[in-house]
This record gives sequence, C-alpha cells and structure tokens, in this order.
Amino acid sequence: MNTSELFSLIPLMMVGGGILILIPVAAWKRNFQLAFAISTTTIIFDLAFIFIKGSCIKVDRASMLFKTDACALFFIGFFAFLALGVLLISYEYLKNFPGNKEEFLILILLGTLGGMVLAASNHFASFFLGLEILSVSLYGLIAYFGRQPHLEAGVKYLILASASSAFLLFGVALNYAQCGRLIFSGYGLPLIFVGLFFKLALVPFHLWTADVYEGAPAPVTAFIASISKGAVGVFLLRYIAQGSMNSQLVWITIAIVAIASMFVGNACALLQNNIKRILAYSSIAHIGYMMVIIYLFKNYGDVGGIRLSSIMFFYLIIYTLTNLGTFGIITAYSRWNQEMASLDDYRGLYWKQPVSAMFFTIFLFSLAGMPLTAGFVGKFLIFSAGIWSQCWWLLLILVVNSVVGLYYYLRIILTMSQEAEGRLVPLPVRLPVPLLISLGLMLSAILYLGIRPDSLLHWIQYFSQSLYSR
Amino acid sequence: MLYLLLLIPLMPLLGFIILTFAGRRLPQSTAGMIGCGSVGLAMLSAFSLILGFFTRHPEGHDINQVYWTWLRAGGFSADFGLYLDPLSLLMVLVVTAIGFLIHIYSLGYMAEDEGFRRFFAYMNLFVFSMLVLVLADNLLLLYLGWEGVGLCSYLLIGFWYQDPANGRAARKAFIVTRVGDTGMAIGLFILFYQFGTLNIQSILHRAPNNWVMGSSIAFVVAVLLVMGAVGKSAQLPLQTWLPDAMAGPTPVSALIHAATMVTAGVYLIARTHPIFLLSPAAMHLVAVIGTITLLLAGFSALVQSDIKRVLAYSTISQIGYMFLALGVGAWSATMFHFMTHAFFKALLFLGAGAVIHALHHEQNLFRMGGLKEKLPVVYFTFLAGAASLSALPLISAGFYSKDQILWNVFSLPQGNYLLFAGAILGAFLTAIYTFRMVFLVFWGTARTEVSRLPGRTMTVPLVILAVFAIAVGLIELPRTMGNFSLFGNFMQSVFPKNAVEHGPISPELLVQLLSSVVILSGLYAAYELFVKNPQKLAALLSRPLIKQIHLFWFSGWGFDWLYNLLFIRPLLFFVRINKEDAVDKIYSGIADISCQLNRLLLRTQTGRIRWYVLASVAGAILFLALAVSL
Amino acid sequence: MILFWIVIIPFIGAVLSWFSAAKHPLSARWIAIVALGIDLILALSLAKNMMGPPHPQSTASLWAAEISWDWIPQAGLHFHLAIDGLSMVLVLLTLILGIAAVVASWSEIKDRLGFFLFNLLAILSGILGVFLAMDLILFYFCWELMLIPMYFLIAIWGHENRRYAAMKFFIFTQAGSLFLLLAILGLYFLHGHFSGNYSFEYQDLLNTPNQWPYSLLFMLGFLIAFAVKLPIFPFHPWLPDAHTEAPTGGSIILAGLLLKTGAYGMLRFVLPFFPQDVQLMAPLIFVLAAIGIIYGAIMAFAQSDLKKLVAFSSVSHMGFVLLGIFAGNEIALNGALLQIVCHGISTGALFFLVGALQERLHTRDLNSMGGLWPVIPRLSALTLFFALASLGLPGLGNFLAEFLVLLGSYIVTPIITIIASIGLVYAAVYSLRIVQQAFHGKPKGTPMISDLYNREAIILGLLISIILFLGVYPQPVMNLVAPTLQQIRIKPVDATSPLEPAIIVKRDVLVIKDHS
Repeated sequence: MNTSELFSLIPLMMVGGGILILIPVAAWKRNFQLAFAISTTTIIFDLAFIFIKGSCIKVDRASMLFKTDACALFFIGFFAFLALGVLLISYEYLKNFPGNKEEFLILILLGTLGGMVLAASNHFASFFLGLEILSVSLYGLIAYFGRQPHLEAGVKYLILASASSAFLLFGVALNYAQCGRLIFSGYGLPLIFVGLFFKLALVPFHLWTADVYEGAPAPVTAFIASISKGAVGVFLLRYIAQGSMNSQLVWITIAIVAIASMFVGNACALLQNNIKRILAYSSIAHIGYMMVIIYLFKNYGDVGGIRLSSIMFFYLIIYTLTNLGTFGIITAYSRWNQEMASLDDYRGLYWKQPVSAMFFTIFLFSLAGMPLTAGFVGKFLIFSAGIWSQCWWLLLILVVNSVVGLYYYLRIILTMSQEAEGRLVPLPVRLPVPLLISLGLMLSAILYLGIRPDSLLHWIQYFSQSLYSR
Repeated sequence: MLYLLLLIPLMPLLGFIILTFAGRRLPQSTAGMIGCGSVGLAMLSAFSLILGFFTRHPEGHDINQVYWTWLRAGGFSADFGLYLDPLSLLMVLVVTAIGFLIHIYSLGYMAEDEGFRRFFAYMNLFVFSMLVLVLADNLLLLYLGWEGVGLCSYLLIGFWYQDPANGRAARKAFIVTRVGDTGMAIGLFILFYQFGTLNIQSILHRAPNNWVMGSSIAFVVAVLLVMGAVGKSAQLPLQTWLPDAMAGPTPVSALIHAATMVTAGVYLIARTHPIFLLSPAAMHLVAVIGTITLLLAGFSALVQSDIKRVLAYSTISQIGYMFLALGVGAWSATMFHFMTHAFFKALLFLGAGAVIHALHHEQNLFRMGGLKEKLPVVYFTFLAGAASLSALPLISAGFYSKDQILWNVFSLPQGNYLLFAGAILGAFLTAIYTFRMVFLVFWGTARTEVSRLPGRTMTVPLVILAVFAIAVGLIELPRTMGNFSLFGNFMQSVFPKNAVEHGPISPELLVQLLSSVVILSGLYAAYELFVKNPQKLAALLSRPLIKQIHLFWFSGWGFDWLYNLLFIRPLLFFVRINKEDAVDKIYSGIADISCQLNRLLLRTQTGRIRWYVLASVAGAILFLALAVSL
Repeated sequence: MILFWIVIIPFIGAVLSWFSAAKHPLSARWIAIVALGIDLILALSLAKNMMGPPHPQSTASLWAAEISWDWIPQAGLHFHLAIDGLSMVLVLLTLILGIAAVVASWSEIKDRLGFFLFNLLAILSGILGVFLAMDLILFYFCWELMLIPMYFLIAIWGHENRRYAAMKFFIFTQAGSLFLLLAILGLYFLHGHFSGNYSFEYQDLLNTPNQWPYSLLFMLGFLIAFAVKLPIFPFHPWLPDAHTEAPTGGSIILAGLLLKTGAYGMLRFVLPFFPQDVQLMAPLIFVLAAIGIIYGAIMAFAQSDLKKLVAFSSVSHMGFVLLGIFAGNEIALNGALLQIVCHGISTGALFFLVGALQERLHTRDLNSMGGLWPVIPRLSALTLFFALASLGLPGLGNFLAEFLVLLGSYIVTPIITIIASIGLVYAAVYSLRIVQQAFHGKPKGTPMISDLYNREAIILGLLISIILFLGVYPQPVMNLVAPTLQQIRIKPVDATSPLEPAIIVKRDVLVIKDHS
C-alpha cells in the first residue's frame, strides 16, 4: 500500500479516527454535548475532505480490498451526509435519556463506517467486513435504550441478520471454492442474494422489516432506512456491474422478487395504523421498484448499464434522503421512552404544527412520486428506463403499484388534515434547531432535485462509468 | 318600415325583460300595461306590415331580413334572420291578435293572483318565442322558437307551482314534446347534410331538384319533421300531454294550448310542404295520424267531466283535422281552419275561463249548469264559439273551414273514403261533445253559485272573438256559395294550387249537405241525451261494457297507462336499483380485493422469529433450487 | 413574458392571501379577487390582440404569445408556455370561474380561510399552466400540481364523506396520470429515435412518425388520463363523490375546469398526435360517449342529493364533448369547445347555487326541499335559468354546443348521434326535476332564509350574460378557436387510400441513445 492508496482511504479512516477519539472521551468524561460535537465534526470534516480533496484521489484500487473510484467516493460522502442527518435528528431524541448517550453516537459512526466500507468494497472480505460492522452496530443501536420493544426488535434483527449472514458467508465460501479467490464472481450467487435481499428487505426475506422498523428507536429506523439500505444497494449495483450474472434464471428470480416485493409491500401497508410500519412496507415496495431497474440490466451491456446504474443510484439517493426526512419528522415527536408512531398521533398536525406537517407532506409526496419532488424524478427515470427496454408488462405492474401506494401515503396526509379531537400527545411547540437543520437539508435536496435533477444526474452518470471501467 | 318586422318579436321580448327585472318594483297596473302593450304594439306592427305587404309588394314578394350571423363554424352557418311571407304573416297576425286579446282578458282573470307579473312575463316570452318560430328564416332559429314556446308552455302549465300536480303536468308537457323535438333535430341534421344549409327557403327551393319524387331520404326527413310536429301539436302518439296541460291558468290554455303553440306542428308541415310533396308516403302518414287522432280525441272529449279537458281533447281533435288536411295536400284549407280554430277555440277557452272564474275555480261540468241567465254575455259568446267548433252550417266560421277540409279530403287524389268517413264521424262527435258542454254548463239547473261576474276586460275580448268566430269564415266561401277566395288568394304564393277547383260543383254540394246533416244530427243527439232524456244516458252508462268503454275513453284510450308501463316504470326501476352506480362497484371491488390481500398478507406478519427464519430459509432454498435446476 | 405572469399571478395571490388571512380575512378574499381580476385583464388584453386582424408575421406561428426558457435542455426539457385561441378561451374560462369560486366561498368558508384561498388559487395556477404548457413534461407537472391543492380542498373543507371522496379523486386521476407519463415518455423516445432530437416540445412531437403499435399504445396512455378527467363512462365513479363532497368553490372548479383539462388534453394532444389511431379508436369512443350521455343523465335523475345530481349531469354533458372531439370535423369540434365553455359556466353556476342553497338550508337533499320559490325568488329563478341552460334550451350557449356536436357527429356516426340525442330528453327530465322538487310544490316548513346576496347575484349575472351571449352570438369564440381547430381536426381519409397499412416495427426500434 503506497501513500496515494493510503490517501485514498482517508475518508474511511477519518470516520474511524473519529470513533477512536470518541471512545476515550466518553470513557474519560461523559459529556453528551462534547461527544455530539466530536461526532458531527468528524462527519463534517470527512465531508469537507471529500469535497475539497476528492478530486485529488487518483488511485482506483486502494489495496486489494477497496476500490475508491468516483462512485465509492461519492457514496462515502453521501453516507457521511446521511449520518450527519441522523446525528442531527437524534440529538433531541437522546437528550433526556438518563443512561449513557455517548455510545449511541459511537455506534452511529460505526454503522456509517460499515456502510462506507460496503460502498468501497471490491472484494468479498471487505464486503463482509463492512456488512458486519454495519449489522453489529445496528444490533446495538436498535436495542440501545433497553426497553421492551427495542429489545424485541434488536433480538429479532440479531437472529435474522445473523442467519442471513450465514447464508451469505456460505455463498462467499462457494465462490471461494470455485475460483479460489474472494473477488466478485457469479458463483454462490443465490446465497449471496439471500444475504443482500435480506438487508434490502425484499420478499421473501422481508418479514423482519415492519417489526424492526416499529421496534427500533426512530433515529435508528432512519439509519436503517437510509444508510443501511443505501450501502447494500450500492454494493448490489457494484456487484452486478462486474457482470457476474449471466444466467436467465437470475433474471427470472429478480423479476419475481421485484414483483412480489412491490405487491406485498404495498398491500401490507394499505391498512396499517402505525406510520413506522407503513414506511417499512413502503420501503419493501420501493426496493421492489429498484429491483425493476436491476431487472432491466438484463438486456444491456455496459452502455445501457451505465444509464441504468445511474437511474438506480439516483433512485437510491432520493429514496434514502426522503426516508431520512420522513423518519426525521417522526423523531421530532418521539423520545427515547415514547414513540409517536400511531397514525392517530398525527391527527390535526396541520393545524398544530403547520411547518412540520408541510415537511412531512412533501416527504410523503416524494415517496408517492408527485412532481416537484425528487420522488417524481425517480419514478420518471424508472418509467423511462422501462419504456426504453419496452418492458411493458413490468411497467404496468409498476403503475398499478404506484397507484395502490398512493393510498397509504394519502392516508397519512389525510390524517394530518383531520380535526384533532381525540388524544394528542403534547407536541413540541417549536422544533429543535438541529432537527430543523437536518429536515431543511433533506427538504431542500428533495425539492431541488425535483426541479433540477440534471445536476445530480450528471454527476451520477459520470461516476457510474467508473463502475464499468475495468 | 322594414324594421317593423324586427319590432314584432322584439316588443314582447322587451316586455318580458322589463317584467322580469323590474317586475316586482312595478305596480300591478303598470305591469299589466307593459304585458298587454308589448303584444299590442307587436300586433300593430303586424297590421301595418300587412298594409305594406300589399302595397309595396303587390307581387307577393317575401321579405327576408338578416340581422346578424348567429353562428358560423366549419361550413355550418345560421343567421338571425326573419322571413315574412303570407304564411308567416297569417301566423303573426293570428298570434299577435289573439295574443293581445288574451292578454287583455288576463288582466281581469289574473288580477287577484300574486304571480301577476310573472304571468305576464311568461306570456310575453311565449309570444316572442312563437313569433320567432313563425318568422324564422332558418330551421335553427325556428328550433329556437320551437323550444322557446315549449319552455313557456312548461312555465305556464306549472304556473301555480304550489300544487305538485301542476308541476307534473308541466314536466310531462315539456318532456313529451321534447321527444318529438329530438326527432326533428335529427331531421335538421339530415337536411343540413343534404343541402349544406338550414335556410328554409333555400332548402325548399333545392329539395325538388335534389331529391326525386318518393325518395326514401325525403320520406325520412318528412317523418322526422312530423315527429317534431306531432309532439308540439299533440297528435298521436305524443298527444298525452295536452289534456294534462290544462293545469295552467285558463288564458294560457286559450293562447298556448289552443290557438297558437299547438298549431306549430301544423305550421312546420305547411312551411316545409315541398318536402312532403316529394314523399307521398309521408303525407299519407300525416293524414292517417290526423284522422286517427281526431277520432280518438273526439271520443275522449265525449266523456270528460272537466270543461277544460273537453276543450283540450277537442283541440287535439281539431288539429287532427288540420293534419288530415295537410296529409291530403289541402294546404290552404289547413291554414284556413287553423285561423278559424284559433278564434273559436280561444273564444271557447276564454268563455270557459269566465265560467270557471265565476264559479270560483269549479271546472267540473256536472257541477255547473243554468248559467244562461247569470252570465248572458259569456253564454252567447260561448254559443258562437260552440257553433263554430261544431261547424254549424252557414252561420259559423268553422263550417267554412271544416267544409273545405272535408271537400278536399273527398276530392283530392291523396284523400280516400276511409279518411273522409273518419272526418265525417269526427264532425258528428264534435257536434255532440260541443253541445254537451253547452247544455251542461249553461242550461238546466244551477248547481254552483256564481261568486263573481266577469269584468269588462274579460267580456270585451270575448265579444270580439265571438264576432270573428262567426264572421271570419266569410273571407273564404266555397264555390257553392259564391266562390269568394280572399284567403286562398292570399296564400296562393305560398302553396301550390290544388287541381280540384275546376271540377263539377255537385259533389261539393253533396259533401256539404252530408256534413250539415251529420252535424245537425249530432246536435240533436246531444240535445236528446243531455237535455231531454238524461235518464236515457244514465241507463246507457250503467251497462258494464259501456262503463268500461267510458272509462277507457275518459283516460284518453289508455295511452298514459301504456307509456307509464313502457317508459316510466322501467326507468324508475333502473333508477331505483342503480342509485348507487353499479360501475362504482367494480372499483370498490378492486379496493376490497386489495384490502383482502392486505389482511391475507398481514397474517404472515406473526411477529415470531421462528416463522420469519422459516420464510427466509424457504426463500433461500427456493433460490438454490432455481440455481440448481440451471 | 405575459404568459408567465398569467400563470404565476394567481400563485402570488395565493401566497399573499394565505399570509393575510389570519389577520384580515376580508382582505385575503379581496386579494384573491384582485389577483384573478388582474390576471383576467391581462388575458383579455392578450385576447384583444388575437381578435384583431392577423399579423403578417404571426401567420407562420400558431401562437399569439410564447415564452420558452431552458429547463434541462440536455433532456429536451423547456419551460415553454404558448397561447393560441383554444388556450385563450380556456384561460378566460378559468379566470372567470376562479372569481366565481372565490365569491361562492365568501361566506361558506370561515375556518382556515388562508389555506383555503391558497389552495384555490394554486389550483387555478396549475390549471392555467395546463392550458398554456407546450412542453409535455411541464404540462405533466401542471397536470399533477393542480391535483394536490384540489385534494386538500376536498379533504379539508369538504362535506361529510370528504376523506373518502378526496382519496378516490386523487387515486383515480393519479392512476390515469401515470399512463399519461408513460405515454409522454414513449412518445419522447419514439420521436427521438427517428429524428435524433430528444425533446418534449409539443411542436417537435407533433411530427412523430406514426408507428404501429406504439402510437396506439401511447394514444391509449394519453386517452386514459384524459378519460378519467373528462370523465368517460366507465372511469367516472370518482366524479360524483368528489363533486358532492367538495366545498362549493371546489365543486365549481372541479366541474367547470378540471373536467375541461381532460377535454383540452384530447383536443391538444390526442387528436393531433395520433390522427390515425384516433380514427381506429373512434367507434369504441363513440359508444362510450353515448353510454355516458344516457347513463349520466339517468343517474342524475336517480339522485336525490342535489350536488350529486349536477355531478352526474356533468358525466352526461361531457359525453357530448367526447362525441364532438372524436367526431373530429370542424363543426363537431366547435361544438365540443362551445360545450366545454358553456358547461363550465352553467354547471359552475349550478354548483354555486346548490352551494348557496346548502349554506342556507344545511341540506342538499331534494326530498327535504320544496316550495322555496316564494321564499327565495332570486335564487330560484337563477337556478331555473341554469337548469334550462343545462338541458340545452335554444338561445343559450349549451344548446348551440350540443347542436353542433350532434350535427357534426351525425355525418360520422348517425346511429350514435341518434342515441346521444335521446340524452337531450333525459336532460330535460333531470334538469326540470331540480326546479320542480326544490322550488315548486308546497313549502316544507322552510325557515325564513335570505335570498342571494348582491355579490352572489352579480357574479351569477355575469355568468348568465356569458351564457346568453354565447347563445346568440358565439362567433367571437368561434373565430378565436377556428385556426387551432382547423389544425387539429381529423382530416378525412381519402376514399382511395384507406388507413395506411400498419407498419410493424422491429422490436429494437427504440435503441438506447448513447450519452457517454
């Protein structure tokens, strides 16, 4: 490993460094403000580094394990951005927790690091490493506050994720057995898919999603929905870009999984009364939409692949941003000992808290894919990809599902517009500043991308090419 | 002078507008003056036009004035233009003159009604629409007037809106006539595509060149026009609305449902007669419709107990005569009968109105009687009208006009003996029911007290109309009695000449004698049954079969029942079962399926890890199986 | 630039009245009126130019005014607004009914007035955008953006069953819109493939080669979206609910304008984009139109809820519009356009009146009304007038519209025309029922209620004069739209060359354009 390789890994190392600073600080003196400052500063420095020095990183292959190409770099930065968002929304949530708060921040940074590693991994070893860093910190995060729902969700996630990791590991082992190395290839594919699909919560590995989303503390759910899903998604694309899937059956599997996920996700969300569960099911459906893009890779070589990858990346980005915003709203009204997830809790939000209700509405419209929001652009791109490939039947299914999906988003919006007669948990009169910053960031990103998606698309197209440069 | 033409419809319109917008602020007398005055001015313009028409246009050149282009779109265009020829002039004169008299009469009749201003507003609007109908130079504008009079008829039938029955009658009138109008509209479409215009005169000029005699297109168009005509003119099979239309105030019945609007169909056919001439089958259809209608209505009129319903059926019957005359090509005779009918029927209605007014809204014939002495003016004028309606020989205008029809049916090639027999039978019936009415109302003993006497505003129009009802026949005398043909000459530029004028005289005399005998025997029969031997009638009526027939006639031959069964009941049934919109069920079904799916899928969400693991493992095995089967 | 202002002024008004409503509710209402008034004046001044003698230069272009700004030029996206006679007529209709809607809600809406006015004016902005956008994605944006405030309008200020209705409205229209989006994209790629110019511009896409079966597919996409909005017969169930539950202002806009966007879409896009497929589909559409006319009329008769009655009557009337559009000759198209305008006004006014009645009586149930004429003569007489307009009384605009539609379609499809004209009879049945049952008959213990207020009477008087004007002298409108209609009418196919043999395209016709 030469210096330039080392240099290219600085974005990862900075987060690691931040964690290393935080641990002794927390041990030495418990000060939440300080810990919070350190963690946010770490992330901001990381972001700043990528922003300023990113272009200086020349080396594509940083050691055998990592590939810090433009794509990886972008997503490391993006995950840092998301982590910043998660940190900001969890500040108020944590503040009144009587126990130790600092480790929560450490775990978030750790999870983020895992995600970043995944984004840059070029080798099964680094992939597994990243995945496990991510998963293990999630176990901790979910169960962090130690109350019954948290613990239940944590244990569920622990067991199921471990099981899926086992499958994944088995797949990797098969791959190793076949080609003697741990580089990406098509061997053991079904089992690797099991692991990835589990993380992405695709049917039939989706069953944990709703329970974990519901049981986990709101900022952690935000983390799962954004960084965790995003990192696995990026990895999936990178894996596919290696061109290791050349059998027809793989595509059939993907199509089935995509269709099943769309239908199951949307159908399950229809009559839910818990917003977190609704969003959990909606995430299943959304990942299903993304799988449609993956399916479309079938017919195309590198050129089409670049275009499809950029669509997929774009969708992933806006989806994670929107989700983070949505859960940010939920976090705003939740505390470590009290989750505001019931639909009834949000009754009359329009009249009590118009600003956050507006935020929420826009996020939901983005999820539903209405124009002016980035969600529309995502849907637009998927549609255009489908039309390009003339995959009419899949488009039809997509349309049907989009329509069904509307129902539950609208339901939330409707509830917010209702008169608040019944119970209403006292809501904060004004939103805390960190949270507002985070929500503002997400909102402006979503609106900006909804009107001028071309700037980001341009970027994505640029770094998507790096996926295919062998 | 030519702007007088525009003034004719404009004045009533102006009256309508003033009464509508300022009505409530005007005192009643002013409102009445505006209402009557506007029609009066229209009448004056019409009379001054007739002078001009003869002096400036000795050749009978018609006046056509176009005011503005109503509509021009993609090859279609229609103007706001008026067309005056003898036919429309006749209509205008009758409409404005009778309209004016009835307006005057209404001043008294409606004096105590709180809807006085509204009444005159509607009446003015009606006169306006009617004038547009008869003056229109294109069929689209004619259609405007056509529907306009329908609207006013609707408004005036339902004038006393507090009673839902009136509303029902009004609605029935509007809807039934609209059925006919729709057919007529389709006729207009065909005419447009055949001739590229809806201008009446150009169509009529081109029709004989474009269509061959007896062509099916001419037949179709003619039948569609007849559809409109039977609707407005209450002929079979759309006659059912007219008896119910008597729910309106009596002057309305006089103006709209006797003298003017109901003859719009007659006018339409007369106006478009060149088309009918090209289709003998259609003409025959018209004649048959007319004959059947005149008989059915005559029988129904025999048994009605409501004085206005008797008159309503008699109107249907008399228009049946006009249709019969049209059907045999007796154009001029039709219009002649139209004119006399307008006078005597308006007179009869107004007379009946005076009776009803006097008896405090009593309309049942069998509760009237003995009014001869109490209401002498009404009696004598009514008698004049009755004489004219039943066409008493020589002394009534109705005789001359009906005689002309009978003779034409007898002699013209399109007529035949069956039609003639029907017409004669109709004349017999007419005499019976007319004098039944006279005897029941004015003779015998009084059964209801007279509460108020008609004032001057009511009696003067009655007298004027009575004079016309007797004397207007003198402008057209048959060859047997002087062969004076003022009316026929006036109309000759419009209608083709009939061939029969030059045959021998004796058959005509025979027809006249026959009809006179029939009518006089009808009169005698009425006297026998209703004055001399009423018990004979009672005995007759007690027989079950006769009773059934009586009921059947009373209900207007069961047409209402039939239509109810055929059209209204199915509609109501459909409406009842489908109130919630069956199509919606499809979508709510989809929604239900989604909800079921939701419930089904949620059952997989047990919350138990073992089940989740199982599902994951199953999925993994499935993937592996797929891979292995490769 | 003026077009930009026309679209944006209502939105500015929306924001302003939102902010001012909390302190000065009255001034918020006036701000809304003034904003729309200014907009109307702007539009009228533009219309005046268009009425004048045609400019020598402007003959080349159909547009009387146009702006085009770059949006995402690489993808062929432009912020492109343009106006011709067709759009102008609809813009004027929008603004007039917008004012009516604000007035109608004057005393009805007291809660959350600011947000109400915001939504109301935002919808108008969206609708104006729909009528002016000449970039298909911009069109789609506006198409969608008018839904959201409408959704809020129904969901928040609606009547008893508002949530259900709002949801149904949104889901139905959105389902249609997604097909529209697919079709727009499809057309984009098809055109781009053949010309190498990937563009969402209306004028560009007009020249898309006719490729079977793609054009048919894309046409269906467009058609479904517009069919739901219009609505065509089996897609109508959202409409009675939405109209019934919406607040008065919302109903006016829904019936008067939102439905018209569907008709506009067909006129603007379906006909010129897919002339051949339109002819292919026409027989089916005719049947649906006839069913819609009759079914809507019968269903209107079936209702006892006044608003629902009027709503179903819209289904019937829109059947005429559909028939006229797909008959496709100039007469029928003129009729359809006139029907769009007249129905917008007459039904808007009817909803206005029904709203006024509901405000006074607190019910919309016909069965519990009766004998209201002496109590509220003004309102009753006006309702009578608009009921007559709705049944197509000659002398009023609606009659000419229906007459032209039927006249135009008769030559194309006589049987359907005859069936459709039966709808005229049913129109009389349900229209008269309103008057008869609500205003005539014996009073049913009606409390003393106030007649129409002057502001209401003034706005209704305006609507009456428009209907009357269009009934006796519709020529200015006809002249305004004539050039556009001439362009989009279905050109008669030569008898010698029947429909061009369908070209079956190879599957790889839409290859991917390389962006790298």
